[in-house]
Amino acid sequence: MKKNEYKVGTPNKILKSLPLAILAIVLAAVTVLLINI
Amino acid sequence: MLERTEEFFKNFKIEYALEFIGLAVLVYFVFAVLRGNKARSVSVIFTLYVLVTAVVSYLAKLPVGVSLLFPLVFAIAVVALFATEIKRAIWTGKSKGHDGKHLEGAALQENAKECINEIIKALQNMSKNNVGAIIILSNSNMPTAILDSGVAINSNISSQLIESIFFPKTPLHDGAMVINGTKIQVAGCFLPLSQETNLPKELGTRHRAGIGITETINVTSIIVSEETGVISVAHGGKLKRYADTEMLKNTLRSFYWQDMMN
Repeated sequence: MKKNEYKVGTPNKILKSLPLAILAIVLAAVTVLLINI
Repeated sequence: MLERTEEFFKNFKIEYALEFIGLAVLVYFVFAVLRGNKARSVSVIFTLYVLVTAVVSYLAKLPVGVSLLFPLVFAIAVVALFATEIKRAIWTGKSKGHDGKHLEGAALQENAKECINEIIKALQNMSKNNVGAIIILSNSNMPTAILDSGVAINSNISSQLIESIFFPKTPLHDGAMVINGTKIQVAGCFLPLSQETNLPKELGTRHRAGIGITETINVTSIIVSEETGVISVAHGGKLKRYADTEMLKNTLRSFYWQDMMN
């Protein structure tokens, strides 16, 4: 797809992927804790 | 459990940190792939799956190696399921998000009537001249991979533009056009074909593509047959043929007043 304008009106990439990253970190932390204790 | 947690932090080993980093990267990767392909419901299933298997591992005191296999198996399944999309994202070097809605609320309502008229006018003209066409009405829910297979148009809807795109021998006429709200988002897209065996033989690839996309994604497709000029509407994997003006109006109205408002 050519360079497009979909970015207009959407937050920047880092902000957009922040919730997913936080969720991934929390999920990984809980899992590692549960499987190691 | 509290004592064991305390012990875990007191005797913190480098393995724990490595397990945490590896797992966090794996989970983020799975989330990113699922989000890029509009499979958010699978993300919820994945989250629950990881939590449940972790709890089971804790209760059954499974070895760490075995416990870590559970999320890994899910990740492998996701890779297998979205192999093509992942390959495409790797080759293009980025995974773009297309979920920006073009217009909201009032502006959408204001333009919707005009859009409905323009789309119907184009469909009728193409039907009259036996020009094949396939238009997908999407509510920002088309998978990135399909949008990437076309060419971004991002233009207001006009009957002239729709007819020009589908005019035979033009570069984009053979693919599908995606209408997102009051914009023509992309044209020339490749769609998955329906594998339904009971479809009438006279329905060609265009109809199969129009039905195929509605089988997996909650969108509506409108197809104009190149041979007969018959207009058909597909939704939820079901095809309604011989659409007249009234049926088209109802389809487009429900798209603009229901789908787009949700």
